[in-house]
Amino acid sequence: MDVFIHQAHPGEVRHHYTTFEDKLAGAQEYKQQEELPWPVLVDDLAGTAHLEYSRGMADPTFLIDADGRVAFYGMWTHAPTLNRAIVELLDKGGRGQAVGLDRTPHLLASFVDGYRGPRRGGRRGVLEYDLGAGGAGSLSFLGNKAKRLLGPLALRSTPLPRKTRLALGLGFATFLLLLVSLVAAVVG
Amino acid sequence: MTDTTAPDDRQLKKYNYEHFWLKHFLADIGRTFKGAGVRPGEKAPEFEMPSTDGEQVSLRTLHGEPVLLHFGSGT
Repeated sequence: MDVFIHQAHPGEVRHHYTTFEDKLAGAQEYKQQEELPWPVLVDDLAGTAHLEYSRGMADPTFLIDADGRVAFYGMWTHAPTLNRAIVELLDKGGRGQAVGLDRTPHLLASFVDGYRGPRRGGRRGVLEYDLGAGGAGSLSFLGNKAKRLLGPLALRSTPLPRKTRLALGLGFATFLLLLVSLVAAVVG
Repeated sequence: MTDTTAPDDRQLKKYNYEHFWLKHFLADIGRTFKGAGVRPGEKAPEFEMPSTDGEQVSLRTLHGEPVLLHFGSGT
């Protein structure tokens, strides 16, 4: 289930929350627009649960085992690792640790499918996302435009096969090499 | 000038910030390096929160089954 936290990218459309009723309305809008079939819980205005669980991380996920202990903590909700943790926990009968602590960011996915979020705040929300996080607002705008092309690669909940990762790595290294050669030729 | 804002009020304003700045992004990077938060193996903190449907949900009532808890702003 989701726990709805503070407004991460406030803008002229959706401001920062000043009342719980305002926050509840934001959560209802989020659940409706994203068509979420699972429950969305609403944390209090002070972010008590959010701060207690993650000290305020932007996008964390916890997998809690059947005894009420944390089995997995994904600090940035990297979907393939979360998927691995779920499978591992279920294999253990729902009890114990699975994968443990994961710090991997889910960068490509958040750029390809993350534009709707800051856009809900408004143009100012997107602009401040750009200024505060090194162009992330524009990258998510462009990523969203290229969703049809990049989606199959970026929005996976399972890890890419080893051969595919190797091929992508080689392709990227070749691209970098060509780019450096081109720059060297132009400068030289 | 003396700051007459109550500490709780300041905390509320800090958490519900009006503008997203570089410091918010850097704070998350810092927390990532520290591994800040409830670590695997530790008891998950109890909570009781309303859902968007108006139902009160607590962790206690969900014991006996694994629970996936994703924290997000939707923005």
